Amino acid sequence: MALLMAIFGVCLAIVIYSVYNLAQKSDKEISWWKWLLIIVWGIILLTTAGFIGTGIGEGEPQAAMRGGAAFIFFLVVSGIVIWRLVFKDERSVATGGKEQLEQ
Amino acid sequence: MSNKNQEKMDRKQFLKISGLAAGIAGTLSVGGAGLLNGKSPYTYQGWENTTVDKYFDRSSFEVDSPKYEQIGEPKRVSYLTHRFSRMSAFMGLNMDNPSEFPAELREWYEEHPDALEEDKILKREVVPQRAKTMAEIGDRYILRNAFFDSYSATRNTSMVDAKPEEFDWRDVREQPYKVKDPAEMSKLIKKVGRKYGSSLVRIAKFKPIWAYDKHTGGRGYDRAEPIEVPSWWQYAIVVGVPHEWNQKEANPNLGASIDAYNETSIAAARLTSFIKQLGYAARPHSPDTGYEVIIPPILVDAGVGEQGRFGFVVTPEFGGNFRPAVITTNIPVEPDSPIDANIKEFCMECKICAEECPSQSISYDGPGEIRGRGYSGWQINIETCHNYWMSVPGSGSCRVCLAVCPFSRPANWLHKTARDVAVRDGTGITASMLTWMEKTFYGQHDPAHYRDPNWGTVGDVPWWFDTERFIDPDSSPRTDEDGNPWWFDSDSDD
Repeated sequence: MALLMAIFGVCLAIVIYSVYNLAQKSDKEISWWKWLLIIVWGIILLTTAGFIGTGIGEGEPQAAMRGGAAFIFFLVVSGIVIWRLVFKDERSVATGGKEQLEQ
Repeated sequence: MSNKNQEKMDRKQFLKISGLAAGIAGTLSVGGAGLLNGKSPYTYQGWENTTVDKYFDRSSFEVDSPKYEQIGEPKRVSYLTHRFSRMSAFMGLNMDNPSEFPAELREWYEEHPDALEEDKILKREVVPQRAKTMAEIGDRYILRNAFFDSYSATRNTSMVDAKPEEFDWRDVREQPYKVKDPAEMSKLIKKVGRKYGSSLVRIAKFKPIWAYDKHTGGRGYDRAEPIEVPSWWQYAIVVGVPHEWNQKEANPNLGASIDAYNETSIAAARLTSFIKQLGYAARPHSPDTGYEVIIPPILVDAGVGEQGRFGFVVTPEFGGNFRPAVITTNIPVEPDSPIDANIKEFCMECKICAEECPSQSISYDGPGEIRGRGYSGWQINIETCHNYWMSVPGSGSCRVCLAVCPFSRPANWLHKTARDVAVRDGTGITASMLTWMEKTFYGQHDPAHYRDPNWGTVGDVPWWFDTERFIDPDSSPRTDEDGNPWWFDSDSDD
């Protein structure tokens, strides 16, 4: 358990470092509430993984499967929405001026 | 320039790939941690894990008055409400001839005609049918019965052998030690109680209204003898433990109450002795020794939990899986406050115990007046509940309600988090959501799952109760030396 938590800590640090650097390089500012959405989505992702693991561990495979399926469905749908919200907006910001000029 | 762009792209690519890989690895490691936490025997909060520090901090939930309401003239509970007490009278009677009944029982039946009908069913149908069932499938329960009957080796059922005026003062130090500070003494009692094996220790100011009106017999009393509440019953110290985990899951037919009864009774006996050695009167009211008081409202007064839909007190950490005992005493202590942990509100939404109850004895409605006692609460149908117990092969008892209570789930991070949120949300939103998840994800058994001919269990039957794996029952005599079937002594254990 402690080892897994240590691995998780290292992974989290790598993810934060990567995301931070990628955001720096993208030249686009992502607003605070979009960061918040991304973080909440990440927490739900981790909760889903924990739920499935715990369900299997405590001898409730049915709960792991049903709950896992429900959470994953929610994650996929919310992930698509967040992706479009965050990155589509960025693209429209990048091309927005041109689109407006054309209009 | 081109090389520089290439370098930049490589770095960006690297960050993307490493970030994604770390994200996947991190997610998997959380899943793995969940798996280990779910598997951990330390999250199975049976009494075998009482030393694990997983208890609930009640301080922010303490309130001035308990959550039950006085809605009429308070009345002490009749000893005839106690089904066991009544059974000893009616099992020997001709149930078709009320004129043969003792006057008191006849009057009680006149007030409770439904109970009379159920008592008739128990005698005429349930008991003979169970004998037939046991003759057919009783072999399944050989190991279970051997395991649980062994608890009788450490039961001291005759420990309390005299009325309060004699027993409570027996072996009490002549000159009591002066208690410096009741609040500090409360801390000491709680610490010592935990050392004696109790998972929780809480203290209430004792209310005489919680004593039975008359005695069921024993502990120095004759049957139907009025109980005079002694002046030295000033405080009620509550001790208790949850059931051993595997057997909680093996309810109803392969479970039992005797393990937790035994553990909590031992803790109560030890604490009684401790108090007496400090010079104060003490009397245990425990499953092994019997009672003069009803236990659930005392638990509510002491802030152990709140009364749940199935009548038991549901604690925030063990749910309904908590078997208590009480010590009445006059040692100066500071009582605890009752708690409001939104458990009643949770029960209003949940109803899982009512839906799964094999005998459908648990109300789907809100609390009402408890059998004319002047207080509001949830009252199960005692008679139909007990008739089901008595039909169950193996244990001759049930406990499905306490086992399926969502608050009784293991103390892993998932259920602890759910409980911690539920007790802080009085709106019912969390309760509704968690109840939906419980029913949808974990599933429910139909009440028929627990009845003849299925005789199913709440969870998996532990391998060490699998009689066929270890024993060839056909190689042994089917009856004892008196010609009784082997299970004759292994009747209801509650």
